[in-house]
Amino acid sequence: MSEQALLRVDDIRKRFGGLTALDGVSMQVEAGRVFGLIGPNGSGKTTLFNVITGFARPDHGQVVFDGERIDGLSPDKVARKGLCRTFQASLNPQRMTVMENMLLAPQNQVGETILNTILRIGRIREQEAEHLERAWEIMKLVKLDHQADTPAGSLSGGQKKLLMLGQALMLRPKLVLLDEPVAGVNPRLIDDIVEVIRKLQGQGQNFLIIEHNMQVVRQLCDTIHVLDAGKVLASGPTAETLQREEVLNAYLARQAREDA
Amino acid sequence: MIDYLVYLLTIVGIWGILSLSLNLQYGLTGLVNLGHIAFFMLGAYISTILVMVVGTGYVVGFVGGMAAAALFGALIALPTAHLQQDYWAISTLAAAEIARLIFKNETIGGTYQGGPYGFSGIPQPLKDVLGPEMYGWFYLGLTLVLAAAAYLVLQWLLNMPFGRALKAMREGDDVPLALGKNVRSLRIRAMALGGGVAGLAGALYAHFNAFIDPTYFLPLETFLVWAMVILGGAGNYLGALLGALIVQLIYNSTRFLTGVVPLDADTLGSLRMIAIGVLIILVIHYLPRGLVPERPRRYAGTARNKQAEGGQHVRTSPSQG
Repeated sequence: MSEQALLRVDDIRKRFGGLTALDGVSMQVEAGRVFGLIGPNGSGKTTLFNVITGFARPDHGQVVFDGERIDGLSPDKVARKGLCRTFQASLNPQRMTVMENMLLAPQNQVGETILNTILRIGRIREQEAEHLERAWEIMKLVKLDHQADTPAGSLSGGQKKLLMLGQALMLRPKLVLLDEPVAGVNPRLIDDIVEVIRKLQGQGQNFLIIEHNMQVVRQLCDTIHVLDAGKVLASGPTAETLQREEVLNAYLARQAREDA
Repeated sequence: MIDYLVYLLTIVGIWGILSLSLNLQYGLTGLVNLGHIAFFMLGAYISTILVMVVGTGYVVGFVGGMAAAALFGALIALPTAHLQQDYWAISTLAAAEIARLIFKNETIGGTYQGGPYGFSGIPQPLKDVLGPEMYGWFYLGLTLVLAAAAYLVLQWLLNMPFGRALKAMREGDDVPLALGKNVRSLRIRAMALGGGVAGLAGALYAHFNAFIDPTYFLPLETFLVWAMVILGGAGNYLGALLGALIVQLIYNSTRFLTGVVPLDADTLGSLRMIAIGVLIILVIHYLPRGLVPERPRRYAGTARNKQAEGGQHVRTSPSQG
């Protein structure tokens, strides 16, 4: 290992009853590149995300993030280590406004402790002002700055994805895991989302992205890991890996089965 | 008539505090707490026991009652934190009944005290000095001051990051977890805080009514508090207070209506529950967010200000240090 991996997954196995969702997955995500995680439906991508972020406990194997083992930690602890995820479906509190959602995200908010709201009110005001400023910046970036007071439930599907991305950024995470950032989003907004992610990438933000839209994968990802039936089928530079025969077969075979 | 109004307003104030605390737990945090009356009962019993049996002062009684209720809130949140919402709701109902049956079966401080006898002749602060009439006014004042204090404290917390984190849990744990919030701890704190506030209402009630027994704290009472929160508007503290006013007015209306309506008191007594039920159905149907809906804080202005300030070079820029 020449360079220290930001995220390393070692021989992860996860079963749900009789179904083996992950069957010994090992992969690495290094800093400074955008990684893609692709694979046919049911290949275990989201389960792997769940295992990495503490939403599911692996039966076997380990997850090392930034030099520290994080498997078995609760999701909130994983997030506090600087590893933030989004969800495939928007789960954001619908009755909270866009800005409330954004301000929810930052870590170490002094005002989340009851006693501090009296004892350290000055610090809370300072923090709120800082977070507000940062939230406006990020909202401008993800094109939600005109929707600050809109309830999250009233946003379009694509805007909800942008909100999740924006929230994740509020955390200043070392790595963001995006679960299908453009699925179900209208084409114009897809371009916006791609542009936002590329801009962030340029600023040094690390990403690991699950995506089915191959055009977006080609545009965004430097390196991809291909998952099939709970195993890593192939890894490598995006364009090259997508051409590999076993990858084509995995997709085509699945396609053929679905078509039949 | 005036005496009765003073009585009624005191009751509204006490139940208003109870309704505020359920609004914190349900309206903001989304906790379907079906055992809310247990906090009220603990506040009432512990304050009574401390003042009457142990012989402490009223302040110690009130604070003790609140602390016991807060502790109970934290305790029922601890083992149940992992349950799904519906199971959690049933467990709170059960916990409240368990607590009530303990008080029903434990005689405390004397042969005909506690247990099924309840407590009679609960001491009332300053009653000897003030006389019965002045005492009513005094207690109304005390209740309203404490209700206002509870409102201000809870509203304050709602506007803090703490309130925001509670609201985030209302629609599921996944997002707050993914954002690094310790939802278990937040839930426990919401239960303890709401419990403490409801305990205050209980202590107030015990020393106001001068008599309590286990039949005062049946599950039905919890549903009255729920009616208040849902009518008023879950998520809005003013709504919770309005709901308490409306439900108590209907609940106590029999005394006014017996002379006016050609129905006997028993029928009227049952009709008032029907009236509350019908009102809830109407509100849920036509005003699903309640009479006073939740109002999220507006932030649009904070951007405009910033731009305006920026134009006038008020905002500290890096070059200005």
